[in-house]
Amino acid sequence: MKVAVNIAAVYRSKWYEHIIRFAFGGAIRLVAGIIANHYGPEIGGLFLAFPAIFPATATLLEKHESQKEPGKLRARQVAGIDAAGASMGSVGLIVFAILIWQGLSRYPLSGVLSLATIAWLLVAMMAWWTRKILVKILRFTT
Amino acid sequence: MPDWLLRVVLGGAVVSTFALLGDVLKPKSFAGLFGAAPCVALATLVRSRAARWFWVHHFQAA
Repeated sequence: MKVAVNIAAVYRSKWYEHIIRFAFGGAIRLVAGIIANHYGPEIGGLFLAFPAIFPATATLLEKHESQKEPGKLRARQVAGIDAAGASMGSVGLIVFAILIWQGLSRYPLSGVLSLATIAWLLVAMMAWWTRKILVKILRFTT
Repeated sequence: MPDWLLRVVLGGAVVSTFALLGDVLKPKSFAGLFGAAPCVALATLVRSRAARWFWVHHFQAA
């Protein structure tokens, strides 16, 4: 399946669901900041990799899918596919963290964060394409 | 604006942006990549940029 954009999917979410995501993201950012101020950067750094988007997205995705087609199994399968994507995004997050760790003492914050974000996106996309190709090869050989 | 409120607003905005990106992209395994976006770190970047912009435009110009 090719990568595509479906703008209509935005309107499937209700207004309060967007507010819940916003509040969740804001709360996580605030808690991460408080922990970093209180316990120092080593402990605070753990929360920079907190999966703030995934829990909010997965629960809403499961809800929308069960509304489309009643029955928990399909909805959970779709949420599971989303989780598989998040695990590949986490591979990019490792590269992101290594670049920040090595670069922050030598270069300005904004430059290192921008570069690390681009690297995260590229590595995550490469992991996704690699998995896609491997699945195709496995299907072809079996 | 107090610092904690700025953190909440920026954190919420970055998470909402990536969540929307995950909503509109297909297939779902690809959209899931954005579930592991470094949003807390990006909120820090936006905050530092915003603080710098505010400093340059409101204090240095005066």
